Amino acid sequence: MLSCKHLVEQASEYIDEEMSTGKRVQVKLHLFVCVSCRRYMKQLKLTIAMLGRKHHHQAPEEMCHHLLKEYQKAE
Amino acid sequence: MDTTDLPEENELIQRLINHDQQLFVTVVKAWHPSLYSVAAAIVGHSIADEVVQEAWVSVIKALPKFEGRSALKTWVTRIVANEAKNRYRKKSRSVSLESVDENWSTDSRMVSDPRFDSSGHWNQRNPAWDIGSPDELLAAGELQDCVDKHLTRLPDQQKYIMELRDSAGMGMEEICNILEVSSSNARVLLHRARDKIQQVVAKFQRTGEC
Ligand SMILES: [Zn+2]
Repeated sequence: MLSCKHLVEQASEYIDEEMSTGKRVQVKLHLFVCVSCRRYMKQLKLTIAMLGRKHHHQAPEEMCHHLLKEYQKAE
Repeated sequence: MDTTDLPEENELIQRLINHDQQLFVTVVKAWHPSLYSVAAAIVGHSIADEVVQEAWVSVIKALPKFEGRSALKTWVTRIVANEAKNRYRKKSRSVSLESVDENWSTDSRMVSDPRFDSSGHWNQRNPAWDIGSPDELLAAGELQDCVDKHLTRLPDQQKYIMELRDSAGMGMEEICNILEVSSSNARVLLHRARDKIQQVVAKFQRTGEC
C-alpha cells in the first residue's frame, strides 16, 4: 500500500487532478483508512485556497492614469 | 483567472480596439493581480509594476493587429512575460548560472522528512486544525504574518510557481513556458512550496508559534 509519506508527496497532483486513474484509486483507498492523511489533504486544500486569496496586488492608480493617457494617444 | 464582470471575449476585443476607455481601465485593474504575479515571478517584486505597465504600452500599440489566435488575456500575459524576460536578461548578467540552476534543481529533495518514520508512516497522528475555512485563516493576523515571513523565505522558483499557479490561477503548461522549466520540475517545486506553507500553518495551529 501507498505509504503516508508518498501520499503526502503526491498530494498536489491529486488535488490538481493531474493523476492517472490507477494512482487516484490508490490515494483514495489510503485516504479511506488513514485519518492523518485525510486531514493532511484537507489542510493542503485549505492552504491552497488561502494562498489564492492572499496578496492580490492591486494596480497602482498612477499606473492606470499613465496607461489611460497612452490609450487615449493611440486613438 | 479574473473574469470580474468583463464582457465576453469578442465584445471585449472589439470594444478595446474601438477605444472604450472605461473598459480599458477596468481590464487593466481586473487583470493586474495575475499579470503582476507573472512579472514578479520573473523579475522580482521591485519592478514588477513597471514591467506590467511597459507591457500594456506594447499591448496598446499592437491591439489593432491582434489576431485572436489565443485569448486576449493569454496574449497580454505573454507580452508581460516577454517584457519581464528582457528585463531579467539585462539585469541578471552578473548572476551566476550556477545559483540559478541550484534553485531550479529538484535533486535536493529531502530524503528524510521528520514527519514520517522510516517506513513512511506519520510519526504522530496529524492533528486536525481548529480553523476550517480559508477566510478564517486569512483573518488570523498573527498567523498571516507568520505565513508572509515564510513565503519570503521560500526559494524564488518555488515561490514564483506557487504565485502563478495558486494566486494567478495559471495552468501548469503556461507556467512552464513562461518560466522555462520542465513540467515535472514545476510540479515538484509547486508541491514543495505548498507543503511548506501547510507545515507553517500546522505548526502555528499546534503551538501558536511561528
Ligand atoms: Zn496515511
